[in-house]
Amino acid sequence: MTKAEATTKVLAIIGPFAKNAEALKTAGPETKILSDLGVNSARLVDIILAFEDEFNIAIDDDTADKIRTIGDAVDQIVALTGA
Amino acid sequence: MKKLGLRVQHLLAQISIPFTFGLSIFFMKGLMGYRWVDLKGARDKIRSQIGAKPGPLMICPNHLTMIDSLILVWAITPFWKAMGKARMFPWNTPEKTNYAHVAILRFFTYIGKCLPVVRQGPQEKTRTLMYKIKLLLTWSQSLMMFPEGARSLTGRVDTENYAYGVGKILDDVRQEGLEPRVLLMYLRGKGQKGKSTLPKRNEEFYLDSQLIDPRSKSTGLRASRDISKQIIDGLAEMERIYFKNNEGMEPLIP
Repeated sequence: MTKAEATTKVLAIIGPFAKNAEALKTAGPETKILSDLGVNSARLVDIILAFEDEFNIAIDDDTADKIRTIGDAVDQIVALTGA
Repeated sequence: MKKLGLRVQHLLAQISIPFTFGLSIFFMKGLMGYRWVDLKGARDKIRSQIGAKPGPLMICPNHLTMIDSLILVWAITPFWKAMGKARMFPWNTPEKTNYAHVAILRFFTYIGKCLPVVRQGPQEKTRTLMYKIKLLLTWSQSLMMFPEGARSLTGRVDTENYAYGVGKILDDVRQEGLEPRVLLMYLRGKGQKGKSTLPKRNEEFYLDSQLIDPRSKSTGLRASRDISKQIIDGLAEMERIYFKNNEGMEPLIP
């Protein structure tokens, strides 16, 4: 899986949780999931579990803690899918 | 060092109980005029649920005002019993930014057995807090945490946007061989429509409690989510019963 493909899927997963729809349209690797996209911090767990389901991977707590931006999520997913 | 720090805080908190309980009850009962529907009945029920059996305890209440934990500590037991039985005076985990800028509040929260929480703070701070929480539960202490993570915006138990922190702690400590019991507490002022800083003056409180054993067959984040959901669902059911028995008292969204 390429980073571009992963990014598209990541944004699609985060979309329903993002309160800032405008920021989502222009989101890039540096976009912070919580502060920039307006995602409730409690929902970050749901997003990570959705990543696990979508990409058929297991994300441990330490890895989950490192996911702050879209780029972090994509990097971890690409690494875990072995691409 | 953290162990010693907790021991010292615990000791000072227990010694200060007549002062802290006296002051807080004077404020709530004397100045604000708060009262209870049936305080003795609520206390008897809590005592029957948690009093006899020792061991770690997680208290999970609903959350509507900034002083819910103060009101609940008042409800759980009279101060003289809290002096002899430390676990009847639970530890709390308030959001640091709500009080840390005021020195007197820092002092009272310290002797009030509070461990500050920084939401979305540095991972190191979160790890330290988790370590302290596990230590306290290892020492068979009781810990009060609001499973919704914040005061409810709707005035009802928030079954949609709740945090999974309580579920994570319970799952983590169980993996280390601890078996904390979980006491749900549903507190509601009869005039409480939605979230507020303080309950209104002369408020009359209703309190119900229920011991549950939330578990999950999953692991990791899924387990945290499952356990948290069972806790929230339990509180929502207690709320449903409250409103069923108090028809016409629908809360309004503030």
